[in-house]
Amino acid sequence: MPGDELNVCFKKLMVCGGGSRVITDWKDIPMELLMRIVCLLDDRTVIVASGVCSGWRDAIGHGLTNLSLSWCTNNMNNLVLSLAPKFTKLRVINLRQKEKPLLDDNAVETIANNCHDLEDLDLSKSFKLSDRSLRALAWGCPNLSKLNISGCSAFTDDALEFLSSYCRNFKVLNLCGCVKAATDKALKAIGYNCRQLESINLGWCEGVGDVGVMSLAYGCPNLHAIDLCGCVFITDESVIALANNCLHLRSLGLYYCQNITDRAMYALAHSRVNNKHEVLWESVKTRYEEEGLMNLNISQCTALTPPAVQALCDSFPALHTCPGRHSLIISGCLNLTSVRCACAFQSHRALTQV
Amino acid sequence: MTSSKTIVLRSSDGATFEVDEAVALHSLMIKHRIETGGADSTTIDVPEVTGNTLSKVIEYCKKHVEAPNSDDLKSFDTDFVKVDQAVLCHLAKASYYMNIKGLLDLSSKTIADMFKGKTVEQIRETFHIKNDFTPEEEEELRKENSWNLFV
Repeated sequence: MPGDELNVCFKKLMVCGGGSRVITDWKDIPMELLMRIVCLLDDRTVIVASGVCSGWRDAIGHGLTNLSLSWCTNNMNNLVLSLAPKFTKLRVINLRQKEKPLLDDNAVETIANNCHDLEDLDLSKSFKLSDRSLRALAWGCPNLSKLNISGCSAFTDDALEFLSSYCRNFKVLNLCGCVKAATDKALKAIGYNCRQLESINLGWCEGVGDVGVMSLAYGCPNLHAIDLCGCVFITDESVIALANNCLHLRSLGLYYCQNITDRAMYALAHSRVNNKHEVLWESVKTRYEEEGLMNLNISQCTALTPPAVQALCDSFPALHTCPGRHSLIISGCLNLTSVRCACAFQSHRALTQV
Repeated sequence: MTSSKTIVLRSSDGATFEVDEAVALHSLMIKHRIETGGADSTTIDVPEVTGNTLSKVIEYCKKHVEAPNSDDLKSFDTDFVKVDQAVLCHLAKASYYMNIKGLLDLSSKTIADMFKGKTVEQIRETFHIKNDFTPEEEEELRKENSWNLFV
């Protein structure tokens, strides 16, 4: 093969000191091999590598699927504008900001116009972004399944509703602090459009009420984690709807939901019993003890009483009060300290039997 | 006592190397060729690799197959990749084509370490790569580099 003969000739030249600036094969290495090396580099160095020569720029542009710019303290916006048109195959982009908001709408629009394979985007703390960004994502990134817009306080529920009607594959949504965006109106749209939803964070979204949560419960049967911390207007109706419809619920946050009463606790406990046969048939691989609620935060839910919470603990073996695996959080509920998980009871009994 | 079977590997420039089958099988590409090759699979062509590189690759495979648990394996690997960047490039490509995971990981990591802390110009110099961008593209890249900082 002529190419390799040339190689051998040049190698011999190099050995004889014939010149060190002769052709080498670095610019032509196979794309997969270059990507293997590039994957071992930090993000900043990946960007440097993409500027070495046109061959590498094209190879990295075709092969790069993950990029994080969260380390960038001042120039994140400019970098996004420059990089998005080059790295069109990106699936995961992390633009989480540290202190000050760095991104403008034009940066998100550039991503939406170029990165149509995008699946996972973190825009947290970008409070300069407006609805323009969400609309751009709706048009440009239909495969979006994981979105973190926590702290993006300028988004409204119109735009979130719009986004959910285009991006119907959402699995994970973090809307913590998105007071204007996460309202019952938007949640109704999400419940209607995003049937695959598994995890949603609605922390401190005071506009959330029972109507919104119930829409999620009815529309999203795969929901396994929902954080309603600070959603002060929800009542037992929300929890009852979740208990009866979301059979894979593992994590529930009700911190500061002071309208919650024992009714909600009993509904959760009884749903476990009622739906046991359904849950068991579906989960042949995992044991009964590993199913069901694993994490529950009822801090500041001061209306709850010990019998109701104990009934809950008895129904869900994965909920723990013991120090090593503490997953039932009851801060501020001094009357609930007598509630114990099964292992806490056993160790107590073991101690007293000596 | 059965004598172990040998395989002949032929490089792009016609050099031949006789190796134990066990050593040759360290390359998954060769393993696949042997398994699908049928009766006439005692000579395997490796046209993507020159003789010089193939002999080094065989040296790596021999060490890893014959003494996989030896204490000096780590230092063998470290010394193995203390070569100039052109040889490293050939080793990386050979291990890629011949599907030899250990050598591929070793050479990739070594090459990756050569990037760290370098500017674009320094990388070009290290790997002898010519800058083939147009003046307009160069200007765009210069701006991008000015933003690509930790501060």
